[in-house]
Amino acid sequence: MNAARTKIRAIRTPALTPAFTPAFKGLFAGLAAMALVAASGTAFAQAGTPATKPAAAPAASGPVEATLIFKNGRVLTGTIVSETPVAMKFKGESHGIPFETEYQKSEILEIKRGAAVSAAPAAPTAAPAALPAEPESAAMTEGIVGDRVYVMELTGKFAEDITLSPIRSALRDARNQKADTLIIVVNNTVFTAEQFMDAELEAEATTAREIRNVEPILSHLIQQMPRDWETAGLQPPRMVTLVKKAMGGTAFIPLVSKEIYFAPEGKLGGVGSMDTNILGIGGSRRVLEKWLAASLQTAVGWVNHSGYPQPEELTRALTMVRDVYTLRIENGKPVLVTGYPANPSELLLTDDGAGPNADNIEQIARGMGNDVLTITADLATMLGLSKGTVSSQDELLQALGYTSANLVKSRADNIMRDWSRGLISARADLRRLRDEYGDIRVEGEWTDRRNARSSQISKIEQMKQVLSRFGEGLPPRWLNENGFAIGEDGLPDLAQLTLIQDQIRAAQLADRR
Amino acid sequence: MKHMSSRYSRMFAGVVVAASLLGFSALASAIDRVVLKDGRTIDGTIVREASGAVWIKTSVGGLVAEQMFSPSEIARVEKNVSTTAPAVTPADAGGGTTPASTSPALTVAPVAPATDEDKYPPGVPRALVLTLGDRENGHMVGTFMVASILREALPTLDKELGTDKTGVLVLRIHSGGGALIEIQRLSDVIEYEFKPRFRTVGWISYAISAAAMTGHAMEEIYFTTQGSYGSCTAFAGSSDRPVEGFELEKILYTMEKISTRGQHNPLIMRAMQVQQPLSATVTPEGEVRWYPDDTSGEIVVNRPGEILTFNPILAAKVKFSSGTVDTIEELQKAMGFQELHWVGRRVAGVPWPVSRSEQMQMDFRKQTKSDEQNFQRFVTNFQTSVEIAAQQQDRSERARFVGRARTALEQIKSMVKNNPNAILFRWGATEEWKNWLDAQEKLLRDLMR
Repeated sequence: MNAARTKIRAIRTPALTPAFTPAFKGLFAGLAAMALVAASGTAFAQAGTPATKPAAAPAASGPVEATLIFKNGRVLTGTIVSETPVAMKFKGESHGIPFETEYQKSEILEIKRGAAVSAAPAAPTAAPAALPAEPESAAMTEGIVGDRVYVMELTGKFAEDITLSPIRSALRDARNQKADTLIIVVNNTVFTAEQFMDAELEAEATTAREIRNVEPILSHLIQQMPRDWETAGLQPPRMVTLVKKAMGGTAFIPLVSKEIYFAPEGKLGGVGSMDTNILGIGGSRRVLEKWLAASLQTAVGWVNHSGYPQPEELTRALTMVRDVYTLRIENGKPVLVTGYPANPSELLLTDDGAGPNADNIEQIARGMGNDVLTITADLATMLGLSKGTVSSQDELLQALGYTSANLVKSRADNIMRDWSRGLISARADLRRLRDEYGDIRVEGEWTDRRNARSSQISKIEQMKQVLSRFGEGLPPRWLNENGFAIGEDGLPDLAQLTLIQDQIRAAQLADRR
Repeated sequence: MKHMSSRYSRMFAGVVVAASLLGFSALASAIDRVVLKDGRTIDGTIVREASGAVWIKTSVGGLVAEQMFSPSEIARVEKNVSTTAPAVTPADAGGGTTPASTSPALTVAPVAPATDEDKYPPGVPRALVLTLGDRENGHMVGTFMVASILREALPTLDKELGTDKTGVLVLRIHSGGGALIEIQRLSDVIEYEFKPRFRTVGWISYAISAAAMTGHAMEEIYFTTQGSYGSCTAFAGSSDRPVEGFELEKILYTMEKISTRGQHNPLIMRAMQVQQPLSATVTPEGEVRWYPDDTSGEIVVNRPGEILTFNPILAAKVKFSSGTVDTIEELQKAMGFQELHWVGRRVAGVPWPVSRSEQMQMDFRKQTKSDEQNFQRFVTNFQTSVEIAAQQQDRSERARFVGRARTALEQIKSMVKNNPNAILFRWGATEEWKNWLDAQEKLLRDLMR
């Protein structure tokens, strides 16, 4: 053990083993095969905005005490050893273990030079900071007469840019600002036809992950948010949603709200073919029907929060290819009925998707198929799902009986943007830490070996910090490709990393001077 | 008749049910009879009376069932109408071992004195929420939703809810299912421990598979707005391994008996287990008639080829659910209480007061989650430490690693102590666990010789 040359390629082995959640295990087991891949003509774009341009480096003149604040929230305190316009070598100490590392300035949000930051958490093992703290007072709401309206727009890629953490943070901001009304604008990035086809190849993993990620968001909106408001002595907010693009897993976000509005080009759906995907797994039809029923009724439960009078029928239309639904007007009210239209006044919503009725890829890519339902603004109105179609925020406010004077200064955009940027930095940090770990050689004198192992432990600790902060936004495929194991909950398996740390410590104990 | 409604108003307020040991002993040699206005006569043992409502335990073909009749349904009640033994036999719902308490109708288990009496307002029934599974820490039946921790909570429950049978125990279920083997144990705790002591109410957030099969022992069930309940098809790990043949029949039979416990038509659970079409009609009198097809009844409950999972709307429509409620205030109202003392302390983020009994459940799941996540680590650390210890020539050096191995072994033992079911899932049987443990401890002793 003394001369062990511990390289990450070797010690990482357990982490490289895909511990991917077996499909259909856990809470949303049966949902794993739901095709959530959405289609539209909108081109895919990487979420977030370009990283902040690094500030010009001051001339290096010997070691300078400094605090580095990274874009992912991590804070390091130590000494700048050397510096170039694009990078800096930084030296510090963590739990008595010294470290010296080079950082790209593109990863750094702010450099506090010469500032002894006694209150800052200790170097690399410090947890990455939370999203920027929300104001604890309602100062921003002063001057608003009547209801305070908070707007939160969910943009970017679902399950990466749109995850629980930034949403929770924005909701905290809304609560701190004593919002009476919360407007959630759903406008997620959807796939191009090509990306759709590519994603379809990994539909099982992708859809399982999308569903797994929407459930915490829905639970938070339905259960936790009202409690948070009540704990703060406030009435839970009126929740309004505006659908721009609510495709895939995000389709359910508007459907837990009782007041849904659509933009003129708004679309909700793309949830996919739950039945064909699950039944396509193969095996006992009885078992597959069990999974399907559990998945379907879980989704029905979410939709039931909208107050829509036929949540099961609407959910089946959105998710089940084999069910045929027609829209009929009875006594002036829309009713979803099973089967094909009986007369010209009825509107076929979804066919059985069998044989010639099956949607082709052009239809799917454009969200124009009818194997499952994609709801446009017009259709949403006909269904009685939408309260109205609005082309701007002002129109929505007007429809709700407000004006822009009711708006509180929402920090949601900043929070969502910071999360997306942090996610980009997190990927870079993790790759760098992994490589730095791999470069550590445990060799030389006993002291050298001990220091090397300390560095290994420290690197792993830093990886754990980043993963625990941003793990929910890292796709399983990315984690797998980069050697990070995935736990049964679909999140990075931190216990695996702790195990590696334990083994390094054991090796150190066994090492003789 | 299982359907509970506002007829319970004031039912429990200030009422102490006169079900003394002496009373039950006397009844043991007599039959009680409830004559209903519709002409039916129900013989058995009256186990509870309140505000004119009567709970009577009956036995048909060896299956014990408890039925409740509201005052409006009862023509008259006759007690001790016969000197023959009552038709109540110790229940055996599923071939499991008969609990020590035997029939709850005949035995009132001695309970700990209610030392907390002074803390609660007199005359006001107490209630608490006990969670079976949660999203944050875990919900798998057999791992996180287990009978042992519910049983452990009994003395605390008695103190918190009282022993006069006016207490209301709300079992909030949130679980996606799990091990079949735990269903009978959980059902037995509900049937033999909870129901005789408290008004035991199910509150369904998410009860799939084994979780629904557990909840089925309860007569009075409420749903949350997003609640789902069903999908009880048994399988062994993957879709190509359904439980078939005799094993399937055994599970179906077990659930027929558990359906009796909850006063549910057995067709409901059958439709949740196999592709049994089901429809129902609710008569003008409020009675629900069930049909084993999708055409005879007015309400299609389960379509041909599908597996039944209730959502709150369908469950309420066919009176499987007594109501859809999202808060304890709504639940209290739906249960018919104007006043109810919810036991526990307010905890941020928890929508109901957290009692000591509930804290036990929460702590158990938290510890179990930690143990489950770290089990492999415990084992690897043990093995690594043993291997390194074996390489050490110096005894004191060896002792360091044996010490580390012991720490890891203690973590494993602590895991098993917290959740004995870990033995089942990790070692298979208690004997194998003991053998394994003995072998490891001997190994450590040998290393120090």
